[in-house]
Amino acid sequence: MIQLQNIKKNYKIDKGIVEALKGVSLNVEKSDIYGVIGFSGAGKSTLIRCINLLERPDSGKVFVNGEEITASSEKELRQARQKIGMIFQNFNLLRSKTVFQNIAFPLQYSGLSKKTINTKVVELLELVGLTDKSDVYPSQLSGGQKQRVGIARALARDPQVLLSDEATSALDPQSTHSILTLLNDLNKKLGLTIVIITHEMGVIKEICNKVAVIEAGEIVEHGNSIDIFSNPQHPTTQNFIANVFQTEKIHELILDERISSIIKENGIVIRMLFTGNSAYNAYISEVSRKFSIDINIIFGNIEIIQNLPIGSLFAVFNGTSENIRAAINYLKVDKVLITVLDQKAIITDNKREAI
Amino acid sequence: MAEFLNNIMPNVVEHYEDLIQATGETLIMVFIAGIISLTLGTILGIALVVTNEGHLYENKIINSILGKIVNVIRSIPFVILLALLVTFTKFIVGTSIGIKGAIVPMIIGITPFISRQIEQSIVEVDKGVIEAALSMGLKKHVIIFSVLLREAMPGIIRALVICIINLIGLSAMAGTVGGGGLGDFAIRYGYARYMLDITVVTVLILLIFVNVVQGIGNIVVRRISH
Repeated sequence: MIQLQNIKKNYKIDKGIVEALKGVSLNVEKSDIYGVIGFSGAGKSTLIRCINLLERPDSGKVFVNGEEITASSEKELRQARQKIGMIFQNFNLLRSKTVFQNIAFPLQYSGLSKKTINTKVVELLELVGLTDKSDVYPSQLSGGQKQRVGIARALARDPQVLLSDEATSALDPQSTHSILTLLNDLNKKLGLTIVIITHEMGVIKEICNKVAVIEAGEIVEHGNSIDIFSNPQHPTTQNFIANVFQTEKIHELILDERISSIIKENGIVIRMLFTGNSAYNAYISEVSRKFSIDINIIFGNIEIIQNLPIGSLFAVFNGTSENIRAAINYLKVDKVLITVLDQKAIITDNKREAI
Repeated sequence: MAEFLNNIMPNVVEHYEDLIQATGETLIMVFIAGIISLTLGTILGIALVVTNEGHLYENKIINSILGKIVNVIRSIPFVILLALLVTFTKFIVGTSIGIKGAIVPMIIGITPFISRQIEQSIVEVDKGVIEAALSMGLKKHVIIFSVLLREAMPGIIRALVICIINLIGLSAMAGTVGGGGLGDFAIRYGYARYMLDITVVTVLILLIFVNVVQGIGNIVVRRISH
């Protein structure tokens, strides 16, 4: 549906040139909800603006629905943009127009009759659940409602693609959830292909089936969300994932005397990551029995990603070194991801963070 | 009543026909100069915005030329502009005195001011809204009229109010060089013949004008701001 081929984009600033995108390629298939995640300044906003050419790349090609829009004339580009909806972090609604007029706005110049436009807008209002707000001005709406208007407006010309530029970043968690649910419904109902730019892994977790991690103008990792979540390779990705699982909390816990005191001689702290089928097995009791070690769970959580559970557990293994090693190997064979946490390293790490 | 008025402002009563005529002249000057300069100022203001860097019709040369013209005219005091423009005014309307003679320099004096005011209101329209309009595949001229001007309307109305009030001031100044209107009236009688009551009444009339314009402007802005 969308192909970006080797997109490069530089910006001139006072002190020289900033390379915003250093040859990014991306392939979004029909009906994907493709998430692009990165810290601010990573180039993700530039990337999404290259899809509908709000930013023109210095080099590289952009294809949307088989058409190379980087090669299109101004008129063709306008027509292409009508089939690519876009929503924004700051909603970008027209303050001088009512909700109804805002949604009708892109239709006014499409040659449709007034009656057809009215029917269409009423449908869209219903779709986003704002029928009762039709004649209200944007300033009287909450953030979540404003974004719903934004979505309805973006869908007015029946686009095949929806670009979402940090659309939930200005919203509270509850509105974020409801907007993401709406996007997910639209994806299922209309087969809408959605590209989402975000800096929150929570957004990816909730609705994206695919994800690309962008850093310093380059995509450092991409793939199915479930694979990225269960086995992140790049440090930046690991960082984002750690946020979701709140793994940084383990540092505080381990420093706590009540916890560090349960780590006996030879005892170690390990992190077990269960994905797919391994999430359903009774590993803790099994390993404890088989290798006669005591397992003390100190921190854990389970996240559902694309309907599949991923469990993350931190536990203290106490027993003889041999038994512990055997237990770890046993778990590894069963595709449980094991990370042994070096207690000293954690403590020093933590101190470094504190500084 | 008539006697009372005659007592406190004998000169006004004596010259009241002139006063009414002068008031009418001021209104005509402000009205005509207002319509023309608002039109020119809006066009110039839009041009100043959209030719800016990174805007719809980015064009550094045009932007810089327009900006300089505006700045040059704005830096000339109006009284001097009146004198400078005598030949030009004669060429355009055939005379450099009276209402006609005053309107030309009034337009030229106020247009750069309006254009900056309009420019300011349009610049304040959120860039994201323009981006959203572009992402819908709208034509640029549609964006200028349906997005930029529409969204900037409260600011433009405020600019219009300031401009009319300024024009009232300019019309009085044009009076000093034979432009007609209330300024001319006040100078001829109030100043030159020491008829203080005429000066005071003229000031009162101008005061009422300004307040009415400001009041209407405020109501309109409140109506259209959301």
